[in-house]
Amino acid sequence: MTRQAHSDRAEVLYREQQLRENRFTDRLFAALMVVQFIGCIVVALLVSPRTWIGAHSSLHIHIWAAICIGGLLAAMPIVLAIKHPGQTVTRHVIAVSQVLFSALLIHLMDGRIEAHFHVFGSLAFLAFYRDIRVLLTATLVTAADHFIRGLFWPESVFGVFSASNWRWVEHAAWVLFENIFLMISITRIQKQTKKLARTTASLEKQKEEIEDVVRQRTKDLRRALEDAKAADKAKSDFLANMSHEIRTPMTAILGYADLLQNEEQSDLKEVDKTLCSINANAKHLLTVIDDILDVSKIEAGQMTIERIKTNPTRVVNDVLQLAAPRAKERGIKVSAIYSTPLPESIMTDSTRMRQILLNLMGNAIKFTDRGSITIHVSCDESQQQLLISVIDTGIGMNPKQVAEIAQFKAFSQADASTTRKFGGTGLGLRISNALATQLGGEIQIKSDEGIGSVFSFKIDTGSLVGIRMVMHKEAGVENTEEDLPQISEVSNQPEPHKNQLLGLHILLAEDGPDNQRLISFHLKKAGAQVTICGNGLVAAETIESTATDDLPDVVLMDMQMPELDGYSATRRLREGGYTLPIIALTAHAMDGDRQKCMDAGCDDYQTKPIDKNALIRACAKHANDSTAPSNVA
Amino acid sequence: MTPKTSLILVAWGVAVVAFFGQLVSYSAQPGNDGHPPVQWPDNSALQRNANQWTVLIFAHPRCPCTRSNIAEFARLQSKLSDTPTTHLVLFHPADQNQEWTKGPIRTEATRIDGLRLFYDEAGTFTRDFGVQTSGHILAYSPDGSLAYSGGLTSSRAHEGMSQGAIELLNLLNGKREIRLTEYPVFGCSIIDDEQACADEECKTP
Repeated sequence: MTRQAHSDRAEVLYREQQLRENRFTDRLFAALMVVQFIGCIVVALLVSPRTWIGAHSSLHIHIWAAICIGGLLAAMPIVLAIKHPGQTVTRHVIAVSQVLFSALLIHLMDGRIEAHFHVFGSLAFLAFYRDIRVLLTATLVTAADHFIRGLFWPESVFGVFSASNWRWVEHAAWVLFENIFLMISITRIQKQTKKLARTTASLEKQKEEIEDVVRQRTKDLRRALEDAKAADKAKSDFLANMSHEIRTPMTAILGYADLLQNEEQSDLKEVDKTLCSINANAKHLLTVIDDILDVSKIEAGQMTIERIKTNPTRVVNDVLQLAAPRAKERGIKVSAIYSTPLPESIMTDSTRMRQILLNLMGNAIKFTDRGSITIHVSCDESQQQLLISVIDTGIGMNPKQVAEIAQFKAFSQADASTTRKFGGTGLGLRISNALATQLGGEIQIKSDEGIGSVFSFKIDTGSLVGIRMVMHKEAGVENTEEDLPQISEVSNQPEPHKNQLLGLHILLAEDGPDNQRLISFHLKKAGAQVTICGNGLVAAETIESTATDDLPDVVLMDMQMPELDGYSATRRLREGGYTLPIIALTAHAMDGDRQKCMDAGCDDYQTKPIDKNALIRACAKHANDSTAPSNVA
Repeated sequence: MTPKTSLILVAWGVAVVAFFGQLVSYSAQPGNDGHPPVQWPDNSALQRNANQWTVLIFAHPRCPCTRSNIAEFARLQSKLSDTPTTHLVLFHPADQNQEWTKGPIRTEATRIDGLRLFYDEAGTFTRDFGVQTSGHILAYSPDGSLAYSGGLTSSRAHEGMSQGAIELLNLLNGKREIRLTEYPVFGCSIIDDEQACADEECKTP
């Protein structure tokens, strides 16, 4: 409420209060008029009932005067008080009537001095209106009455037949004398009423503000409650989905493992098929866990991207290559269309770009029974953006489902039946959208039920100055293998040489017997000599008790162990002056975990489950990098 | 305010003013002055005091206007240096006895010192002294000459000091020379005498 509005409101409240007072006073005067009318008749009957001529009498004229004049004086105020209560004209007519009643009463009481008190009492009563103008009206009528009588019947008020022309002024002055005090009183009451109105307006304003706050808070609380309920439901759904998503591959893994353990396997082909199933299910399980970690990073606002030089065409083709086997299984053609020349390289996060495309392709394959899936790529050089669309001819979605999906809520799919029919965690699109937003723009969705869907996103290219623009031809699974570039991840990761770690001494600090066995098996297979320690303390003491020349070439340090964890053991060794390479092994795969290991003194970082090739390459690299003379500073 | 309301208010104002004017006009209308004898009539049954002023007050016992005259005279008497011989001549009809005269006027008259009450059956005294209107006061000097004739109020039943009262006060206190002063009388007609009405211009209240 502005200052002006507050002032206006206070004025309205003041006027309302004044109106209530005026109406109340009107009613009082209406009642008083009746009393005065009856009173005048009674007075006339008591004082001058009859007039006489000898033995004969008749009704005194005062009786008629009381009835007629008293009736006239009373009637109009009563009618106005009923018909127009609170109006200006009503109170002024009442003021006129009231002072004329005084004149009538004085007359009927034979001019008794006591009757004159009626005038002053009337003025005090009229002050109830808190309106100085009403007093002025009453005063003017009194003055006029005296003035006119003074002119024509001076003896009726002044007691002499020839009074001074200004005698009426003296009488009016006495009325004014009382009015002065009444006016002072009225002015003070008006000020107090206005102050009260301002205070009431302020209170109203405060009440309004408090109500607004309460309303807003209630709304917020209701929304928070709804959100909490939705989140609770989403998490319940998520847990149910996760349970399903984790238990399904776990069932396969445990089942096949049990099969291998208990059944006598003579058919090597069948054994290989079983192992492939275990491997595939384990990888799927890992994907689920990665998705959960990604979502938790997104929810925590900790998802970060890197911008490195990336060949966008290669990423697209890699995705096509990876998606091709599943597409072929379902009889779907997958292809890429490059409608404009594309930059040879852009600055983006290739891993995240690939992750988005793989997710969209995975969804497209999942929801497409026949037809094709096309990755459409174009470049807007002026905006420095790539526009990538994944177009399928699948089941599509209705507008409601599109609206639901477009909210990109975690653990949310088009509807519950989607989960039942097609599976999935409902995390992929949420992750992809978060990544796309960081890379250039949100995912846009268009879909027609029964026709297909288009999922589009943009990738900021960074500056294209000096970057060669290349026009590519269409690529697809029907093309020959030669047409498709080799998948970089596969092609750049050659199978390690069998004796890549030959002659190296590696100390493995790991508390899990299975992992001890698995990791040492891979290392030994690569030619290394392996020393196993059950925890960090043993590892540290082993190294500390070993002669400098016999120190291991590389230490593989699990970071979570009993007695002394990997962080403390590494820190102890570094503080002890040991510079030998230490590679951290950890199941903690969050972004900050790598830095935490480096801060403890590790040289490298490998996550569990172990990628044996990556592990062997890391061991070989750090063994070669370390300077031979001494591992002790 | 609508024109109709304005019109009604104006009509109301006019009516109020008219009625009030009529009332005030009536109040200011004096009664018949009569023809009181300038010398005390020798044949009157009322006795004059030859040593002091004799004041005659003629009254209709039921006239409401006369009460004021009696009250004013009582008030005036307290300011006199010497109490005059005062007679209250109270009318009663021939077919009524003295009980008929009981009332506020007779009661009020008891406040006047030395007052003698005379019951004026059928208005005999009133006629003797040529008086018509209740409240008429006649003041005769010790030598029997009429020096004041009139009422003591300035309008009908209106109490308060009047010019007539001042004149009478000064006369009785010897503060002015003895000469006839007349003042209007406000009150009812004491007698219903057709003859009186025929002789005089009869003014009924």
